[in-house]
Amino acid sequence: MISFPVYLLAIAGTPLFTVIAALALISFHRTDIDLTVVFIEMYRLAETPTLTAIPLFAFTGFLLAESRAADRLVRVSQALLGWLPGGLAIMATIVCALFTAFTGASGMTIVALGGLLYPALIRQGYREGFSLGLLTTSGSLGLLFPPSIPLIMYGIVADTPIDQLFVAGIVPGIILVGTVSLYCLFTGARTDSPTQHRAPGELLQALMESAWELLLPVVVLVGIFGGFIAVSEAAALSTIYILLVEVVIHREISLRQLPGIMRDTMVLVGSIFAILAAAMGYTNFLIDAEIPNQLLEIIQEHVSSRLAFLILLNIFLLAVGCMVDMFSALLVVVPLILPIAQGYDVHPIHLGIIFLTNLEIGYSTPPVGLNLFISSIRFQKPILRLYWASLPFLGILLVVLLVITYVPELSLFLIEP
Amino acid sequence: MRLHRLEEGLLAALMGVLVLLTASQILLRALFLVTLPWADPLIRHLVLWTGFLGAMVACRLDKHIRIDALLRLSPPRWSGAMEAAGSLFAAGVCALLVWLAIQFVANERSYGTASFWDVPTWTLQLIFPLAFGVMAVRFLRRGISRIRQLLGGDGAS
Repeated sequence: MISFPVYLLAIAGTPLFTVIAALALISFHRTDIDLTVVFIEMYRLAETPTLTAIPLFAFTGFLLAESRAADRLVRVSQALLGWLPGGLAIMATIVCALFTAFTGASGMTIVALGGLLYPALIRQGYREGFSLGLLTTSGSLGLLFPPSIPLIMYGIVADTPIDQLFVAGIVPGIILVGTVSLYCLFTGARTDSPTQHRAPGELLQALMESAWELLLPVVVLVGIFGGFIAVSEAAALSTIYILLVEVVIHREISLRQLPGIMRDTMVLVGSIFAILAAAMGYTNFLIDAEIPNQLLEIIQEHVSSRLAFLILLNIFLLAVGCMVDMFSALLVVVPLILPIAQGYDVHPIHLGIIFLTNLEIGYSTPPVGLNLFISSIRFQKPILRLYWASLPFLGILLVVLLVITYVPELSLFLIEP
Repeated sequence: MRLHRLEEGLLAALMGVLVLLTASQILLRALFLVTLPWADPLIRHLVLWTGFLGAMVACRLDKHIRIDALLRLSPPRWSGAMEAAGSLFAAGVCALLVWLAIQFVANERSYGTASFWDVPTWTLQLIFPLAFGVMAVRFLRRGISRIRQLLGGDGAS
């Protein structure tokens, strides 16, 4: 196998887009296909209208992270939930999830909100391990809510309607956030952390302060689901809207900062694009070579029931998620899995939700989940400490994953009347 | 240094146009029921160009996605060697892609196809050889500086 040294290089930290490109070139070379075909595939990126949504939503997320939107959001939730046992922790979960929906799981949630929420949790008497685990896993909670970038990517790769994916993710997403919140409630009740009195005045004031940002999800959701605009247009609207809010109304971002924020956005988007571009050729090769069909035949010989297939799928995806960055996994694995899953009668949209839930969990799974490393740097704790801290949360998320996987109706009942 | 400014300036300018153009498309359609036929292809190419410019900058800042767990867990000498090998490999792949991209663009030029505003399609594809060329050079330089560090000479980062 010529490809074997390439896999070794991948594990040794070689930029993945070059690894995938090399695999594509090797495959095309073996089958005597003209190698310039990789660029024919890459140029198809300029023919994918929904792709526009990715840089625009990412830019919106970076603008929100750069402003003090997170502080305002925390204040609202505190006023809303401060009276409940575990209220602060529940609020942290919800705020992180909302923030991640807009920023993608790029670690920005942990960076932007961690500095604010971690000291607050400790001050209210939550244990260090609980607080670290909560903030680490919450960094990817919310990937199922629109307009998360991985959801859009799945839609592009699997050729599935993105607006339907957005709808399908809502209920499973709420269940994930809700279950973690329940755990927070019990923990809060046990540690009997001090609760705050309800203060309607404070709530009103906090609401007024962040009203502009709170309107953003409404604008996006009504726009897309009301059928007024396409997903990429909703992305453009949200960018313009947040630019106006943060630059003109709140004046927290100056015009001079914009090129820098654009650069940071496009560094993230560019690193995703590089992999997307390389994977375009590779996946097409796999499909032309009928590799998914061959895999399906092999698997069908051994696995007969849909349930057994789904169990196998989850184990496989979790293993992938522990080892490989999930953006790359999404691009390389989805085209392989999709035809196989259809062979077992798994709905492509349900598959997307399963995939992204695995992705969420993979981000915080030892040994190499990205969130663990980001938290380790952000909170200056040893990585092993974070492995232990995130375990209880991973346990909870795994249970929810099982439910989401084996009850497809949770994902599908809103899109299939 | 000048190249850094140029690529970041171009990136911000194209991004600005992208945001304004996409938003004005919606407004024009909503208010005046007008759609500009050239806007959609232009927007899609802006996404392509900003994406690849972003990939160039990501290369400079060492932000490309990779599996870095083994690098983090290895002693410095080992991780240095792995990074050197990885960077040189990446440089090689990018160099090969430049060669293929030039052929691809040359083919397109010989077909003489045109996109919006009669812009020849091949000029829009020039971002491929440009981006992979710049990345090849950047990976090569990183690889060489890692090797220098390994050999004990204090190679500049």
